[in-house]
Amino acid sequence: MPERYEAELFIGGRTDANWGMDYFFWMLRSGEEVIVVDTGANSAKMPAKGRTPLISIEAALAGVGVNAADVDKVFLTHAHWDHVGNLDSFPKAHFWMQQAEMASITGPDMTFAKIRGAYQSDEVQRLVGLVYEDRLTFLDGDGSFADGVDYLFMPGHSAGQTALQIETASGPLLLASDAVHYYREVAEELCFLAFNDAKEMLAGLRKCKALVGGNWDRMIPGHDPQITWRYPAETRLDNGDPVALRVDLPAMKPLEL
Amino acid sequence: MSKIWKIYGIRYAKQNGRLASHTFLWGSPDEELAGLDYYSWVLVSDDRAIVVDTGGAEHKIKGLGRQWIASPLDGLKQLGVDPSNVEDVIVSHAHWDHVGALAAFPKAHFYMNDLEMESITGEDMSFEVMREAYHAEEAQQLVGLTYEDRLTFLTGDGQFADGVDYTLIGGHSAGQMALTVQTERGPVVLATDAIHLWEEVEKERAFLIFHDLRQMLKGYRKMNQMVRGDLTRLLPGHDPLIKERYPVVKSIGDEPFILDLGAVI
Repeated sequence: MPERYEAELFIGGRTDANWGMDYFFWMLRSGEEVIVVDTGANSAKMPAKGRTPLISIEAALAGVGVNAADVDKVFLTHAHWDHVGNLDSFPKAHFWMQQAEMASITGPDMTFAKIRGAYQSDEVQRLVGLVYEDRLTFLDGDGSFADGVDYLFMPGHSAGQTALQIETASGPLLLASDAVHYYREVAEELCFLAFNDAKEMLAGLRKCKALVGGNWDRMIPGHDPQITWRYPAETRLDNGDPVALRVDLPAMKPLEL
Repeated sequence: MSKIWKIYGIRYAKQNGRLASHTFLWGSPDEELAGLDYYSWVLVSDDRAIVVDTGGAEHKIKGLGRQWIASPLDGLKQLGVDPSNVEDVIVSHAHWDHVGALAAFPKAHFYMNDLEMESITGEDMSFEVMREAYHAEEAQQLVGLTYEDRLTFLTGDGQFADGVDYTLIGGHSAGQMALTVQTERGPVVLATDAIHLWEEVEKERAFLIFHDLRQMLKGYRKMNQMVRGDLTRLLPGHDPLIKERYPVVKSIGDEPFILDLGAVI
Protein backbone atom coordinates (compact mmCIF):
# COMPACT_ATOMS: atom_id res chain seq x y z
CA MET A 1 0.00 0.00 0.00
CA PRO A 2 1.31 3.51 -0.80
CA GLU A 3 2.52 5.21 2.32
CA ARG A 4 0.59 7.95 4.05
CA TYR A 5 1.08 7.99 7.78
CA GLU A 6 -1.52 8.99 10.32
CA ALA A 7 0.72 11.79 11.60
CA GLU A 8 0.64 13.35 8.12
CA LEU A 9 -3.15 13.15 8.02
CA PHE A 10 -4.56 14.11 11.40
CA ILE A 11 -3.71 16.36 14.30
CA GLY A 12 -2.18 14.11 16.95
CA GLY A 13 -1.81 11.20 14.52
CA ARG A 14 0.67 8.36 15.12
CA THR A 15 3.89 8.34 13.13
CA ASP A 16 3.88 4.53 12.75
CA ALA A 17 0.36 3.96 11.40
CA ASN A 18 0.23 3.84 7.58
CA TRP A 19 -3.25 4.66 6.30
CA GLY A 20 -2.44 4.96 2.61
CA MET A 21 -4.51 7.28 0.44
CA ASP A 22 -6.47 6.66 -2.74
CA TYR A 23 -7.52 9.37 -5.18
CA PHE A 24 -10.92 9.38 -6.84
CA PHE A 25 -13.17 11.29 -9.08
CA TRP A 26 -16.75 10.24 -9.56
CA MET A 27 -19.31 9.81 -12.30
CA LEU A 28 -23.07 9.65 -11.77
CA ARG A 29 -25.14 7.98 -14.44
CA SER A 30 -28.88 7.65 -14.84
CA GLY A 31 -29.95 6.28 -18.20
CA GLU A 32 -28.27 8.55 -20.75
CA GLU A 33 -27.55 11.33 -18.27
CA VAL A 34 -23.98 11.62 -17.03
CA ILE A 35 -22.65 13.96 -14.35
CA VAL A 36 -18.92 13.96 -13.66
CA VAL A 37 -17.99 14.96 -10.10
CA ASP A 38 -14.49 16.47 -9.90
CA THR A 39 -11.80 15.85 -12.50
CA GLY A 40 -9.01 14.17 -10.54
CA ALA A 41 -5.41 15.31 -10.31
CA ASN A 42 -3.25 16.21 -13.26
CA SER A 43 -1.10 13.13 -13.86
CA ALA A 44 1.93 15.27 -14.65
CA LYS A 45 1.76 16.90 -11.22
CA MET A 46 1.40 13.72 -9.18
CA PRO A 47 4.96 12.30 -9.16
CA ALA A 48 6.45 15.54 -7.81
CA LYS A 49 3.96 15.30 -4.98
CA GLY A 50 4.85 11.69 -4.27
CA ARG A 51 1.65 10.24 -5.72
CA THR A 52 1.39 7.53 -8.36
CA PRO A 53 -1.03 8.11 -11.23
CA LEU A 54 -2.85 4.90 -12.18
CA ILE A 55 -4.83 5.88 -15.27
CA SER A 56 -5.86 9.00 -17.15
CA ILE A 57 -9.36 10.20 -16.42
CA GLU A 58 -10.20 9.97 -20.13
CA ALA A 59 -9.26 6.27 -20.11
CA ALA A 60 -11.06 5.67 -16.83
CA LEU A 61 -14.27 7.15 -18.25
CA ALA A 62 -13.85 5.38 -21.58
CA GLY A 63 -13.70 2.10 -19.63
CA VAL A 64 -17.29 2.64 -18.54
CA GLY A 65 -18.44 3.89 -21.94
CA VAL A 66 -18.21 7.64 -21.41
CA ASN A 67 -16.30 9.95 -23.75
CA ALA A 68 -14.88 12.82 -21.66
CA ALA A 69 -15.07 15.11 -24.67
CA ASP A 70 -18.86 14.64 -24.75
CA VAL A 71 -19.53 15.21 -21.05
CA ASP A 72 -21.72 18.26 -20.57
CA LYS A 73 -21.92 18.55 -16.76
CA VAL A 74 -19.02 18.64 -14.30
CA PHE A 75 -19.73 19.32 -10.63
CA LEU A 76 -16.72 20.50 -8.62
CA THR A 77 -16.87 19.68 -4.89
CA HIS A 78 -13.88 21.95 -4.17
CA ALA A 79 -10.82 23.22 -6.02
CA HIS A 80 -7.90 21.33 -4.45
CA TRP A 81 -5.31 20.23 -6.99
CA ASP A 82 -6.32 16.56 -6.83
CA HIS A 83 -9.89 17.48 -7.85
CA VAL A 84 -9.49 20.10 -10.59
CA GLY A 85 -6.41 18.88 -12.44
CA ASN A 86 -8.11 18.02 -15.72
CA LEU A 87 -10.63 20.77 -16.42
CA ASP A 88 -9.67 20.91 -20.09
CA SER A 89 -10.39 17.22 -20.56
CA PHE A 90 -14.04 18.31 -20.67
CA PRO A 91 -14.12 20.84 -23.53
CA LYS A 92 -17.91 20.79 -23.89
CA ALA A 93 -18.76 20.75 -20.21
CA HIS A 94 -20.39 23.37 -18.07
CA PHE A 95 -19.00 23.50 -14.54
CA TRP A 96 -20.56 24.18 -11.14
CA MET A 97 -18.85 25.21 -7.92
CA GLN A 98 -19.57 27.14 -4.73
CA GLN A 99 -18.98 30.88 -4.85
CA ALA A 100 -17.41 30.66 -1.39
CA GLU A 101 -14.76 28.37 -2.84
CA MET A 102 -13.90 30.76 -5.64
CA ALA A 103 -13.79 33.74 -3.27
CA SER A 104 -11.34 31.82 -1.10
CA ILE A 105 -9.04 30.59 -3.86
CA THR A 106 -8.69 33.99 -5.54
CA GLY A 107 -8.71 36.17 -2.44
CA PRO A 108 -6.92 36.97 0.81
CA ASP A 109 -6.96 33.29 1.93
CA MET A 110 -4.37 32.56 -0.76
CA THR A 111 -1.88 35.03 0.67
CA PHE A 112 -1.30 32.44 3.44
CA ALA A 113 1.09 29.79 2.15
CA LYS A 114 -0.35 27.21 4.57
CA ILE A 115 -3.86 27.66 3.20
CA ARG A 116 -2.78 27.86 -0.42
CA GLY A 117 -0.79 24.61 -0.30
CA ALA A 118 -3.49 22.43 -1.84
CA TYR A 119 -4.32 24.84 -4.67
CA GLN A 120 -2.45 25.41 -7.91
CA SER A 121 -2.29 28.85 -9.48
CA ASP A 122 -2.71 27.59 -13.05
CA GLU A 123 -5.82 25.59 -12.17
CA VAL A 124 -7.42 28.47 -10.31
CA GLN A 125 -6.69 30.77 -13.26
CA ARG A 126 -8.35 28.22 -15.54
CA LEU A 127 -11.46 28.28 -13.34
CA VAL A 128 -11.54 32.08 -13.60
CA GLY A 129 -11.26 31.70 -17.37
CA LEU A 130 -14.29 29.38 -17.39
CA VAL A 131 -16.32 32.11 -15.65
CA TYR A 132 -15.48 34.58 -18.43
CA GLU A 133 -16.37 31.93 -21.01
CA ASP A 134 -19.86 31.53 -19.47
CA ARG A 135 -18.99 27.92 -18.64
CA LEU A 136 -19.13 28.07 -14.86
CA THR A 137 -22.14 28.53 -12.63
CA PHE A 138 -21.79 29.43 -8.98
CA LEU A 139 -23.71 27.67 -6.25
CA ASP A 140 -24.61 29.28 -2.95
CA GLY A 141 -25.18 26.83 -0.10
CA ASP A 142 -27.48 23.82 -0.47
CA GLY A 143 -29.78 22.95 -3.35
CA SER A 144 -30.97 20.48 -5.94
CA PHE A 145 -28.55 19.86 -8.80
CA ALA A 146 -30.61 17.35 -10.74
CA ASP A 147 -33.53 15.03 -10.05
CA GLY A 148 -32.11 12.72 -7.38
CA VAL A 149 -28.92 14.73 -6.86
CA ASP A 150 -28.79 17.33 -4.09
CA TYR A 151 -25.74 19.31 -3.01
CA LEU A 152 -24.89 20.15 0.57
CA PHE A 153 -22.56 22.99 1.55
CA MET A 154 -20.01 21.48 3.93
CA PRO A 155 -17.26 24.09 4.39
CA GLY A 156 -14.23 23.57 6.59
CA HIS A 157 -11.78 21.37 4.70
CA SER A 158 -12.03 24.11 2.07
CA ALA A 159 -14.12 27.27 2.19
CA GLY A 160 -16.62 25.92 -0.32
CA GLN A 161 -16.40 22.16 0.20
CA THR A 162 -19.60 20.53 -1.01
CA ALA A 163 -21.02 17.02 -0.61
CA LEU A 164 -23.67 15.34 -2.75
CA GLN A 165 -26.70 13.35 -1.65
CA ILE A 166 -27.61 10.94 -4.45
CA GLU A 167 -30.61 8.67 -4.89
CA THR A 168 -29.47 5.18 -5.92
CA ALA A 169 -31.23 1.85 -6.46
CA SER A 170 -30.17 0.89 -2.94
CA GLY A 171 -31.26 4.16 -1.32
CA PRO A 172 -29.71 7.58 -0.66
CA LEU A 173 -25.94 7.77 -0.75
CA LEU A 174 -23.85 10.62 0.70
CA LEU A 175 -20.91 11.29 -1.60
CA ALA A 176 -18.92 13.22 0.98
CA SER A 177 -16.00 14.01 -1.31
CA ASP A 178 -13.40 15.59 0.97
CA ALA A 179 -15.81 16.75 3.64
CA VAL A 180 -14.73 13.30 4.90
CA HIS A 181 -11.51 11.68 3.69
CA TYR A 182 -11.66 8.42 5.68
CA TYR A 183 -14.41 6.50 7.49
CA ARG A 184 -12.41 6.59 10.73
CA GLU A 185 -12.06 10.36 10.44
CA VAL A 186 -15.80 10.79 10.81
CA ALA A 187 -16.32 7.90 13.26
CA GLU A 188 -13.64 9.21 15.65
CA GLU A 189 -13.92 12.94 14.81
CA LEU A 190 -10.30 13.18 13.75
CA CYS A 191 -9.06 16.58 12.63
CA PHE A 192 -7.62 16.36 9.11
CA LEU A 193 -4.47 18.40 8.67
CA ALA A 194 -5.50 20.39 5.60
CA PHE A 195 -8.28 22.81 6.34
CA ASN A 196 -9.61 26.30 5.81
CA ASP A 197 -11.52 26.31 9.10
CA ALA A 198 -10.99 23.43 11.54
CA LYS A 199 -14.11 23.99 13.63
CA GLU A 200 -16.34 24.11 10.57
CA MET A 201 -14.62 20.98 9.24
CA LEU A 202 -15.32 19.09 12.48
CA ALA A 203 -18.93 20.30 12.48
CA GLY A 204 -19.16 18.97 8.92
CA LEU A 205 -18.07 15.51 10.10
CA ARG A 206 -20.96 15.47 12.58
CA LYS A 207 -23.37 16.69 9.93
CA CYS A 208 -22.29 13.86 7.61
CA LYS A 209 -22.59 11.35 10.41
CA ALA A 210 -26.13 12.53 11.19
CA LEU A 211 -27.09 12.42 7.50
CA VAL A 212 -26.31 8.71 7.26
CA GLY A 213 -27.77 7.90 10.68
CA GLY A 214 -24.72 5.89 11.69
CA ASN A 215 -24.97 3.62 8.65
CA TRP A 216 -21.46 4.06 7.22
CA ASP A 217 -22.41 2.15 4.08
CA ARG A 218 -24.54 5.16 3.08
CA MET A 219 -21.41 7.36 2.91
CA ILE A 220 -18.51 7.52 0.45
CA PRO A 221 -15.49 9.40 1.83
CA GLY A 222 -13.11 11.07 -0.59
CA HIS A 223 -9.83 9.20 -0.12
CA ASP A 224 -10.29 6.00 1.89
CA PRO A 225 -8.50 2.94 0.37
CA GLN A 226 -11.26 0.79 1.87
CA ILE A 227 -13.52 2.05 -0.94
CA THR A 228 -11.22 0.35 -3.42
CA TRP A 229 -11.55 -3.13 -2.00
CA ARG A 230 -15.04 -2.98 -0.49
CA TYR A 231 -16.98 -2.18 -3.68
CA PRO A 232 -17.33 -4.17 -6.90
CA ALA A 233 -14.95 -3.09 -9.66
CA GLU A 234 -16.34 -2.72 -13.17
CA THR A 235 -12.96 -2.07 -14.72
CA ARG A 236 -9.40 -2.90 -13.67
CA LEU A 237 -5.84 -2.15 -14.75
CA ASP A 238 -3.87 -4.95 -16.41
CA ASN A 239 -2.28 -5.69 -13.04
CA GLY A 240 -5.68 -6.20 -11.46
CA ASP A 241 -5.85 -2.84 -9.64
CA PRO A 242 -9.50 -1.74 -9.54
CA VAL A 243 -10.37 1.46 -11.42
CA ALA A 244 -14.13 2.01 -11.78
CA LEU A 245 -15.90 1.06 -8.57
CA ARG A 246 -19.66 0.77 -8.24
CA VAL A 247 -20.07 2.53 -4.93
CA ASP A 248 -23.86 2.55 -5.31
CA LEU A 249 -23.99 -1.26 -5.00
CA PRO A 250 -23.89 -3.06 -1.64
CA ALA A 251 -20.40 -3.34 -0.16
CA MET A 252 -18.77 -6.75 -0.55
CA LYS A 253 -16.77 -6.68 2.66
CA PRO A 254 -17.36 -5.29 6.14
CA LEU A 255 -15.95 -1.90 7.03
CA GLU A 256 -12.86 -1.76 9.25
CA LEU A 257 -13.03 1.00 11.82
CA MET B 1 4.10 66.95 8.94
CA SER B 2 3.61 64.19 6.49
CA LYS B 3 5.70 63.44 3.46
CA ILE B 4 4.91 65.53 0.35
CA TRP B 5 4.37 63.77 -2.97
CA LYS B 6 4.21 64.81 -6.57
CA ILE B 7 1.35 63.31 -8.60
CA TYR B 8 2.08 62.81 -12.28
CA GLY B 9 -0.71 61.87 -14.64
CA ILE B 10 0.48 60.06 -17.76
CA ARG B 11 -2.08 60.67 -20.49
CA TYR B 12 -1.44 57.65 -22.67
CA ALA B 13 -4.58 57.55 -24.83
CA LYS B 14 -7.68 59.51 -25.74
CA GLN B 15 -11.09 59.12 -27.23
CA ASN B 16 -12.24 62.14 -29.21
CA GLY B 17 -15.94 62.77 -28.83
CA ARG B 18 -18.37 60.51 -27.07
CA LEU B 19 -22.13 60.62 -26.91
CA ALA B 20 -23.74 61.36 -23.57
CA SER B 21 -25.90 58.30 -24.16
CA HIS B 22 -22.71 56.18 -24.08
CA THR B 23 -21.37 57.95 -21.03
CA PHE B 24 -24.11 58.80 -18.56
CA LEU B 25 -27.17 56.99 -17.36
CA TRP B 26 -30.13 58.62 -19.17
CA GLY B 27 -27.62 60.57 -21.30
CA SER B 28 -29.01 61.95 -24.57
CA PRO B 29 -27.84 60.62 -27.96
CA ASP B 30 -28.10 64.24 -29.16
CA GLU B 31 -25.50 65.50 -26.68
CA GLU B 32 -21.90 65.07 -27.78
CA LEU B 33 -19.24 65.24 -25.06
CA ALA B 34 -15.58 66.13 -25.55
CA GLY B 35 -14.52 62.51 -25.02
CA LEU B 36 -12.32 60.71 -22.52
CA ASP B 37 -8.62 60.78 -21.76
CA TYR B 38 -6.81 57.71 -20.40
CA TYR B 39 -4.29 57.95 -17.59
CA SER B 40 -1.78 56.03 -15.57
CA TRP B 41 -0.42 57.82 -12.49
CA VAL B 42 2.76 57.84 -10.48
CA LEU B 43 3.31 59.32 -7.04
CA VAL B 44 6.86 60.49 -6.53
CA SER B 45 8.65 61.57 -3.37
CA ASP B 46 12.36 62.01 -2.77
CA ASP B 47 13.09 58.34 -2.37
CA ARG B 48 10.11 56.44 -3.69
CA ALA B 49 7.81 56.04 -6.70
CA ILE B 50 4.39 54.43 -6.38
CA VAL B 51 2.65 53.58 -9.64
CA VAL B 52 -1.13 53.87 -9.60
CA ASP B 53 -2.65 51.70 -12.36
CA THR B 54 -0.64 50.55 -15.34
CA GLY B 55 -2.86 51.78 -18.14
CA GLY B 56 -4.42 49.59 -20.78
CA ALA B 57 -2.68 47.47 -23.38
CA GLU B 58 -1.97 49.31 -26.65
CA HIS B 59 -3.70 46.75 -28.89
CA LYS B 60 -6.84 46.90 -26.76
CA ILE B 61 -6.90 50.70 -26.76
CA LYS B 62 -6.62 50.73 -30.53
CA GLY B 63 -8.96 47.77 -30.97
CA LEU B 64 -11.64 49.61 -29.03
CA GLY B 65 -11.39 52.72 -31.19
CA ARG B 66 -9.30 54.89 -28.86
CA GLN B 67 -6.21 56.76 -29.98
CA TRP B 68 -2.88 55.77 -28.48
CA ILE B 69 -0.64 58.69 -27.46
CA ALA B 70 2.37 56.87 -25.97
CA SER B 71 3.12 54.04 -23.60
CA PRO B 72 2.65 54.86 -19.91
CA LEU B 73 5.95 53.00 -19.44
CA ASP B 74 7.67 55.65 -21.59
CA GLY B 75 6.06 58.28 -19.42
CA LEU B 76 7.56 56.69 -16.32
CA LYS B 77 11.00 56.54 -17.94
CA GLN B 78 10.78 60.23 -18.89
CA LEU B 79 10.14 60.95 -15.23
CA GLY B 80 13.23 58.97 -14.28
CA VAL B 81 11.26 55.98 -13.03
CA ASP B 82 12.37 52.60 -14.42
CA PRO B 83 9.34 50.26 -14.55
CA SER B 84 11.57 47.23 -14.05
CA ASN B 85 12.66 48.62 -10.67
CA VAL B 86 9.28 49.86 -9.42
CA GLU B 87 8.42 48.22 -6.10
CA ASP B 88 4.84 49.34 -5.51
CA VAL B 89 1.86 49.30 -7.86
CA ILE B 90 -1.57 50.23 -6.55
CA VAL B 91 -4.44 48.88 -8.64
CA SER B 92 -7.31 51.30 -8.07
CA HIS B 93 -9.65 48.84 -9.77
CA ALA B 94 -9.20 46.11 -12.39
CA HIS B 95 -10.90 47.47 -15.51
CA TRP B 96 -8.97 46.68 -18.69
CA ASP B 97 -7.73 50.24 -19.20
CA HIS B 98 -6.01 50.16 -15.78
CA VAL B 99 -4.37 46.71 -15.60
CA GLY B 100 -3.03 46.16 -19.12
CA ALA B 101 0.69 46.21 -18.29
CA LEU B 102 1.05 44.24 -15.05
CA ALA B 103 3.93 42.21 -16.48
CA ALA B 104 5.97 45.36 -17.16
CA PHE B 105 6.66 45.60 -13.42
CA PRO B 106 8.58 42.39 -12.68
CA LYS B 107 9.86 43.46 -9.25
CA ALA B 108 6.71 45.15 -8.08
CA HIS B 109 4.35 44.17 -5.34
CA PHE B 110 0.72 44.92 -6.19
CA TYR B 111 -2.08 46.22 -3.97
CA MET B 112 -5.78 46.00 -4.63
CA ASN B 113 -9.03 45.95 -2.70
CA ASP B 114 -10.28 42.53 -1.62
CA LEU B 115 -13.82 43.19 -2.86
CA GLU B 116 -12.50 43.94 -6.34
CA MET B 117 -10.85 40.53 -6.61
CA GLU B 118 -13.94 38.77 -5.28
CA SER B 119 -16.03 40.54 -7.89
CA ILE B 120 -13.77 39.89 -10.88
CA THR B 121 -13.39 36.17 -10.17
CA GLY B 122 -16.87 35.43 -8.87
CA GLU B 123 -20.52 35.45 -9.69
CA ASP B 124 -20.49 39.11 -10.82
CA MET B 125 -18.54 37.99 -13.89
CA SER B 126 -21.24 35.52 -14.88
CA PHE B 127 -23.31 38.57 -15.89
CA GLU B 128 -22.14 39.70 -19.30
CA VAL B 129 -23.12 43.31 -18.67
CA MET B 130 -20.97 43.42 -15.53
CA ARG B 131 -17.97 41.74 -17.07
CA GLU B 132 -17.76 44.12 -20.03
CA ALA B 133 -14.87 46.19 -18.67
CA TYR B 134 -12.86 43.21 -17.36
CA HIS B 135 -10.75 40.78 -19.32
CA ALA B 136 -10.16 37.15 -18.31
CA GLU B 137 -6.41 37.18 -18.88
CA GLU B 138 -5.89 40.22 -16.69
CA ALA B 139 -8.03 38.81 -13.88
CA GLN B 140 -6.01 35.60 -14.24
CA GLN B 141 -2.73 37.52 -14.00
CA LEU B 142 -3.90 39.13 -10.77
CA VAL B 143 -4.76 35.68 -9.38
CA GLY B 144 -1.32 34.47 -10.43
CA LEU B 145 0.33 37.38 -8.60
CA THR B 146 -1.54 36.35 -5.46
CA TYR B 147 -0.06 32.84 -5.65
CA GLU B 148 3.40 34.36 -6.20
CA ASP B 149 3.07 36.36 -2.95
CA ARG B 150 3.21 39.54 -5.01
CA LEU B 151 -0.26 40.88 -4.28
CA THR B 152 -1.60 42.27 -1.03
CA PHE B 153 -5.29 42.83 -0.47
CA LEU B 154 -6.41 46.11 1.03
CA THR B 155 -9.62 46.12 3.04
CA GLY B 156 -11.66 49.29 3.42
CA ASP B 157 -9.68 52.42 4.23
CA GLY B 158 -6.14 52.84 5.49
CA GLN B 159 -2.71 54.37 5.13
CA PHE B 160 -0.64 53.09 2.25
CA ALA B 161 2.44 55.19 2.93
CA ASP B 162 3.31 58.38 4.79
CA GLY B 163 1.17 60.93 2.95
CA VAL B 164 -0.81 58.41 0.91
CA ASP B 165 -4.13 57.08 2.20
CA TYR B 166 -6.63 54.85 0.41
CA THR B 167 -10.40 54.96 0.69
CA LEU B 168 -12.78 52.30 -0.51
CA ILE B 169 -15.37 54.07 -2.66
CA GLY B 170 -16.89 51.14 -4.59
CA GLY B 171 -19.79 51.88 -6.92
CA HIS B 172 -18.09 52.12 -10.30
CA SER B 173 -16.51 48.75 -9.53
CA ALA B 174 -16.89 46.66 -6.39
CA GLY B 175 -13.49 47.56 -5.02
CA GLN B 176 -12.86 50.96 -6.59
CA MET B 177 -10.46 52.93 -4.39
CA ALA B 178 -9.56 56.60 -4.23
CA LEU B 179 -6.23 57.88 -2.88
CA THR B 180 -5.65 60.94 -0.75
CA VAL B 181 -2.17 62.25 -1.44
CA GLN B 182 -0.36 65.02 0.43
CA THR B 183 1.10 67.42 -2.15
CA GLU B 184 2.69 70.85 -2.16
CA ARG B 185 -0.78 72.33 -2.55
CA GLY B 186 -2.19 70.25 0.30
CA PRO B 187 -4.24 67.05 0.24
CA VAL B 188 -5.43 66.00 -3.21
CA VAL B 189 -7.90 63.17 -3.82
CA LEU B 190 -6.90 61.03 -6.79
CA ALA B 191 -10.32 59.57 -7.52
CA THR B 192 -9.18 57.54 -10.52
CA ASP B 193 -12.44 56.11 -11.86
CA ALA B 194 -14.54 56.71 -8.77
CA ILE B 195 -15.10 59.84 -10.90
CA HIS B 196 -14.46 59.90 -14.65
CA LEU B 197 -15.54 63.46 -15.36
CA TRP B 198 -15.95 66.41 -12.99
CA GLU B 199 -19.55 66.86 -14.01
CA GLU B 200 -20.42 63.57 -12.35
CA VAL B 201 -19.82 65.35 -9.05
CA GLU B 202 -20.91 68.83 -10.13
CA LYS B 203 -24.26 67.69 -11.55
CA GLU B 204 -24.55 64.21 -10.02
CA ARG B 205 -24.63 62.71 -13.50
CA ALA B 206 -24.28 58.94 -13.12
CA PHE B 207 -21.56 57.30 -15.23
CA LEU B 208 -22.97 54.50 -17.37
CA ILE B 209 -20.61 51.74 -16.20
CA PHE B 210 -21.16 50.71 -12.61
CA HIS B 211 -21.26 47.82 -10.21
CA ASP B 212 -23.63 49.49 -7.76
CA LEU B 213 -25.39 52.67 -8.85
CA ARG B 214 -26.33 53.88 -5.38
CA GLN B 215 -22.85 53.28 -4.02
CA MET B 216 -21.36 55.17 -6.99
CA LEU B 217 -23.63 58.17 -6.39
CA LYS B 218 -22.87 58.16 -2.67
CA GLY B 219 -19.19 58.05 -3.62
CA TYR B 220 -19.55 61.27 -5.63
CA ARG B 221 -20.89 63.06 -2.55
CA LYS B 222 -18.35 61.48 -0.23
CA MET B 223 -15.41 62.61 -2.35
CA ASN B 224 -16.90 66.07 -2.71
CA GLN B 225 -16.97 66.24 1.09
CA MET B 226 -13.42 64.90 1.31
CA VAL B 227 -12.20 67.96 -0.64
CA ARG B 228 -14.76 70.29 1.03
CA GLY B 229 -16.21 71.21 -2.34
CA ASP B 230 -12.86 72.32 -3.81
CA LEU B 231 -12.93 70.32 -7.02
CA THR B 232 -9.41 71.42 -7.96
CA ARG B 233 -8.34 68.99 -5.23
CA LEU B 234 -10.38 66.16 -6.72
CA LEU B 235 -8.80 64.44 -9.72
CA PRO B 236 -11.12 62.44 -11.97
CA GLY B 237 -9.81 59.48 -13.97
CA HIS B 238 -10.74 60.40 -17.53
CA ASP B 239 -11.69 64.08 -17.82
CA PRO B 240 -10.32 65.88 -20.94
CA LEU B 241 -10.34 69.09 -18.88
CA ILE B 242 -7.47 67.81 -16.72
CA LYS B 243 -4.95 68.73 -19.39
CA GLU B 244 -6.39 72.26 -19.53
CA ARG B 245 -6.28 72.83 -15.78
CA TYR B 246 -2.92 71.43 -14.67
CA PRO B 247 0.64 72.12 -15.84
CA VAL B 248 1.89 70.02 -18.73
CA VAL B 249 5.36 68.59 -18.04
CA LYS B 250 5.88 66.79 -21.35
CA SER B 251 4.04 66.76 -24.63
CA ILE B 252 4.23 64.50 -27.64
CA GLY B 253 3.64 66.75 -30.62
CA ASP B 254 0.46 68.64 -29.76
CA GLU B 255 -0.66 66.08 -27.23
CA PRO B 256 -0.09 66.76 -23.54
CA PHE B 257 1.50 63.56 -22.23
CA ILE B 258 2.66 64.09 -18.64
CA LEU B 259 0.82 66.43 -16.26
CA ASP B 260 1.82 67.68 -12.83
CA LEU B 261 -1.39 67.15 -10.87
CA GLY B 262 -0.08 68.10 -7.46
CA ALA B 263 1.41 71.43 -8.50
CA VAL B 264 0.27 74.72 -7.03
CA ILE B 265 -2.03 76.24 -9.64
